[in-house]
Amino acid sequence: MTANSSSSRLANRPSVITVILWLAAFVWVIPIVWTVSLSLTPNETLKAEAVGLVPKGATLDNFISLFEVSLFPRWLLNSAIVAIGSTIGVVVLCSLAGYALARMTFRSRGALFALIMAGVMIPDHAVFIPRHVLFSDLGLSNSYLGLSLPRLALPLGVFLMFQFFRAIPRDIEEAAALDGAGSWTTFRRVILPLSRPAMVTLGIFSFIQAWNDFLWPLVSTNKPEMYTVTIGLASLQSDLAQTEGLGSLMATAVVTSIPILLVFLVFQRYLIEGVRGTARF
Amino acid sequence: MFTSRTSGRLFVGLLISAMVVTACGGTASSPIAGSASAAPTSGASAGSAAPASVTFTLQRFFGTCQEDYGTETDLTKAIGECAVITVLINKFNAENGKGITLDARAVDFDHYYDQLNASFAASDPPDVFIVHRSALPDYVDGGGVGAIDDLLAAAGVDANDFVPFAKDGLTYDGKLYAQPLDLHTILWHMNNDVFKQAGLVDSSGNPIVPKSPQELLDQAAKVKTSTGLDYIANETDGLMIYRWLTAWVAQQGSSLYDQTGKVTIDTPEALAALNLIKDIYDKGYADKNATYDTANQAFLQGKAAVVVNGTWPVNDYINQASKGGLTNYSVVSFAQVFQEPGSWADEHTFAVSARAAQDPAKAAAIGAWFEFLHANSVAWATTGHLPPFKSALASSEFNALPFRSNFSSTADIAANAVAPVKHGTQLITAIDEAVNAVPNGLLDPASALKQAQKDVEAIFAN
Repeated sequence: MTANSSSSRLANRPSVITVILWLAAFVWVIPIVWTVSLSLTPNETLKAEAVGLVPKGATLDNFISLFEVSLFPRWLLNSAIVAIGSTIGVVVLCSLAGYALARMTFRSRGALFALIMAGVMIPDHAVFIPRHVLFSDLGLSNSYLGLSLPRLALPLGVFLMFQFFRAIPRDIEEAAALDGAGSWTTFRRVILPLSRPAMVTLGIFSFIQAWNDFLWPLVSTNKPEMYTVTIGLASLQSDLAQTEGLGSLMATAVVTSIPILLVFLVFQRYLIEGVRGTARF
Repeated sequence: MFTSRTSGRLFVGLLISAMVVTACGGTASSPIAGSASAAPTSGASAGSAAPASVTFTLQRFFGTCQEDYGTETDLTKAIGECAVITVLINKFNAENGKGITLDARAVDFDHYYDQLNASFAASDPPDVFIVHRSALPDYVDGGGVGAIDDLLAAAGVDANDFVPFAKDGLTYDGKLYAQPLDLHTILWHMNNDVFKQAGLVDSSGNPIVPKSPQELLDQAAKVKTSTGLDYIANETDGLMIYRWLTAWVAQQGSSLYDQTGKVTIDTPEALAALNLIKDIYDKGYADKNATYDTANQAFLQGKAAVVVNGTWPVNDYINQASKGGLTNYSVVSFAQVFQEPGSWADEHTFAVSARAAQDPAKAAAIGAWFEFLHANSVAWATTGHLPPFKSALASSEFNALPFRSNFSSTADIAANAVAPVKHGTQLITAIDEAVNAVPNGLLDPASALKQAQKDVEAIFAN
């Protein structure tokens, strides 16, 4: 045994931290594996026994019957339109507001910022009924606009972007100004490309909120063809659904979490950058 | 430095996309594919004139089962609430012969009233909707629902056929505000095999139902020692303890509150009932952490002698009896362990929004639906619910259904158990929250009843 191979083996040996992290990840992933396993198990089998990480008599029937619900694709589409639409809106609005508040000088900037931040402290439920009545009076019930608009006012998003923009060195803007760029051009061509990680972080946050939202679509829609996937799937549940149809329920959980998983997979690089974003400058 | 226009294009693209996507509102107008409303309804039956078609909306819970019963109209093929209500609607749409389309919308049960109230707040309620007898007073008081006496008379439905419990609870100031769909109560669902294993069967082999608190505790001890199983499976996070308490209080000639707003929760009768419930849990005869679903699962897997549940799963349990741990099932009225018969009961009813009740065409169409439901009451009763009509209760068709004679008397004994009052849902929630804390020892029975008394009095006072 040479000294080199010995040190190489030592270097490849997992550290205690790594082992702990692997264990934590394993514990974290068990519910997901269990959910997938249940979704692949026949409902009849699950009536007798629902414990186990390996599906007994694996079947795709639960998924097939889910897609046989005639409105299910429509509910998925509705959720996608609402989640993507409101996410884009949130990112655009919060970026603009965050930049203006962080880098531009205008009267009452502090008061405006305080007013926006006060919005964080108002619980959504407190404005729920008046908002619903207002939207209904405007004829926005059972519409994509009605489902998306309330999501656009996200004070936390403004704060996130404000913090990010504030951490960008002023030298960069000054260099742009020397090249003849105005505020808008600087924002559009210099600041915005730099803030992609923060925008992605905000976008993921907004997308997940919109995709998982239950209460607003519940009251804002009463026509099944306009339900989002959360409302539609809940409406399918009959008495004893969790007793006699556990596999079907888990199949819905798997299918509806796929979009969120995809968003994470595609944007995870930006997400990590966004989290450590302020430290870069 | 600014030669690259990528970022600019990206930004403008995002902005336009946001505007386009969020602005593509508008109500989808396509019919509910595969739903009852998609069924052909024009083409009147032979001999009838072809009137103008009319559509009315109906909001309900009970789940959706379009994939299995989307176009089915044969009621004999329907098992369980979801299936039967779906097939009933399909059948009405297909066979009404009057050009009527019933546009049914299903809402998740747990959030049903949230959405219903929101639709009223937005002045866009469904034309007809399911509402519990216990929740109806709020809608009557708010003017949201219309009286249906004339509508029923025009449709040929005789309100005198309603059982007293049904009619009394739906009548305010002499006017009837809803047509009952059923009368439901809690029942004593038993696994005969467990009773047999514990030696708790009579000479005919039928399980013995306890007749006193002590006999119940003795039975529970015997089941535990001889089988190791729980005597009772029951949820502790839902409404079942409240219903259970209501039943045993009614069996002592009392009630939790009455229609005048007199609150009688903190009473010796309620304390006796709640102490008995606590004993069952404290002695390990029931799982303190059971939910509705785990309690049902335990019962269906043969892991409990009794499950406290309503009339609604009777047909499901019978259907399951040949498939799993529950191979030998029977059901009777909720165990009478105190002096007199009594039980908790409620009704599913159909109320008509005030706006629809004033629309002659819609009122006539809804009347036809009510007449259809009255005529097909036994079909809904196949779920396990009791028909709210005297004629249906007395029919041979209903009495031929399994076990119905064991619990159909609930229609007579439930009369005073639950008073329909304003804020009924709120009152029930307040009682429920207090008494649900008892099985887990968070509150002792006396404190729980005091808290419930105080909370319910406050709700009545406001």
